[in-house]
Amino acid sequence: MAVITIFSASYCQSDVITSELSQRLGYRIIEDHKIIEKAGKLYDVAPGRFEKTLYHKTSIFNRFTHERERYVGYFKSIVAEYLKQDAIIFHGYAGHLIPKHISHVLKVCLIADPKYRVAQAVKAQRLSEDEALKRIHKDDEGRREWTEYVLRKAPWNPSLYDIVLPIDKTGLEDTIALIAGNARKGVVQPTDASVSAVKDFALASEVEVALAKEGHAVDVAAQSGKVTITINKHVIILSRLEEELKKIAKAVPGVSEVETRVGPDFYQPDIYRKFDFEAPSKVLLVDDEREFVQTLSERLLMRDVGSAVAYDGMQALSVIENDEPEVMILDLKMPGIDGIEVLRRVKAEHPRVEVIVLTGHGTAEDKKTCQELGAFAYLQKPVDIEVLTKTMNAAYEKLRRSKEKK
Amino acid sequence: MSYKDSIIGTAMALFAENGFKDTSTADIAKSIGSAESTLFHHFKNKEELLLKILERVQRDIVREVESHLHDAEPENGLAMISGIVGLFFHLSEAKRVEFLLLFRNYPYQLANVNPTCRKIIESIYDFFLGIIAEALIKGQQDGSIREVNVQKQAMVILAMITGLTRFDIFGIMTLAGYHQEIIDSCQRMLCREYICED
Repeated sequence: MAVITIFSASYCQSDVITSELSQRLGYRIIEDHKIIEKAGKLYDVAPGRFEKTLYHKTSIFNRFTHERERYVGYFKSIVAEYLKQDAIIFHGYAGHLIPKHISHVLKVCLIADPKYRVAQAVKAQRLSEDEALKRIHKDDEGRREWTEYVLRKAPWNPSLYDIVLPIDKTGLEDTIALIAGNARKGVVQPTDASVSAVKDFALASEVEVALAKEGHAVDVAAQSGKVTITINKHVIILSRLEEELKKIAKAVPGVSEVETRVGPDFYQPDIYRKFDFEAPSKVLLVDDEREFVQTLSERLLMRDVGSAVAYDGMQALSVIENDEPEVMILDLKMPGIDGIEVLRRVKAEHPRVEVIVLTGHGTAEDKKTCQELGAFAYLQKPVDIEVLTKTMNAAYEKLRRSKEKK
Repeated sequence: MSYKDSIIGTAMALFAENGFKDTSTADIAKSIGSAESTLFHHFKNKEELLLKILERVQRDIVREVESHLHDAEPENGLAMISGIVGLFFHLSEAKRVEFLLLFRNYPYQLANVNPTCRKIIESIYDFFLGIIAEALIKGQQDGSIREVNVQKQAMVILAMITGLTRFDIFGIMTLAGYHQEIIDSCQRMLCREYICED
């Protein structure tokens, strides 16, 4: 059977909905405080302190104690234990900690208009409307703080859930029926893969707890005993840190192998780039040879140039629509809309974008056409990265001058 | 000294004194008395020049420390620690320019984005951590040092001596007169009994 998680804005009748669902489906309800109680017992933390640390803004002392990371880790490991069982509804914050690839979990979010929630609050707590509104704001703030902390996303972000239900519009009965109906669907039933994903999640949580106890806050993933630790905070003496993390992780029972890797934030182009005004910061690379374009993107990153990548003309045009680059590096020979057509449209609709044509099979005629259409430069593959960088900087310089004139 | 060496030496002194950003390739060329274009004949850009300098600093420091360690015959691990601490302060004076460069912000900013740079700087720190850890292990074996977490203790000792060296190099406070106190502190931190006999 599927597992259901219900996260709700305050005063959206989530208690009523959860208990009704539990009766209809024969599911057991697991509230956050139950998880906290269990984790507190296992790891010897008073529930009050646990709750306070878990839900409230990171204390200034946390930097040294890493208490919050630790408690989130404890919390997660209990959630993972419950997940091994069947027929469960998590009511509260637990759902946010369950990874997406555990596919037999139906994640539900309940929301409602402020008007509806105020009315509910006035009725339930005998508050004035003003008081009710204040309390709702405070509740929302708490939820925002939580999801920002664990997921770096807003609490109502639809990507966090399978269904988001506006209880004021859907109505109590329909909401319950919808959730129950979805929980019975085939896609949220456990599969071999999703069951082993639960085991991986449990192991990763345990490793996370072991690391957090030693003060390390890092991302941990597991796959049948093989643990991958991702380091995002930049350190110079990386090898010693890796050694230490591996040692801690290997001591956790069930771990067969540990690998460390640096995450995308490890090397930070931004810090450095702000000192360098000569290089463009928004570059779009368009080429259907994926390997070439990815390598180029990485090499540019080493030179502190951030770039986006598009693999065909259509993609390129849609990227430009949404976020105009400063410089575009364009291949001519591509399936679908070819490079010359992309150039024509870009120069017509986004004349400020400087286009550098980079091609392997261009003819003299192609070159002439490109120049007439307003390409900034025409380069032949293979290109020396130095030459490309210089050309890019020159193109950016031209753009910057024209901006200054305005 | 080859021309390339003189570029490296001059650029190192300028970077250390004035910082990387505030030193132009024109400044470097002027100090050596040659054209900027000759500079670019040997180094692609300023960044590559910095990497070459850091590589050389790393090599020099390792060579120098190893030759001193080779000559020393400490009686036990604890004495070895005192020796390394003393040697570190000696180096900070003898290799003033190199140390000043290593205390500048720029190499670390570059290390933030450039894996080659990170690895060179890492190997310098790693080298010191390695010899301190080795002394700690030796001390634990010969009984002069109590049970400690070797890796972490090595980091704390290195951080303490680099922190103190910064005080001296940036003129926050002179370390003259502090050497004995620092060595005593290490001993108090590491020796078997918390209260050491004098």
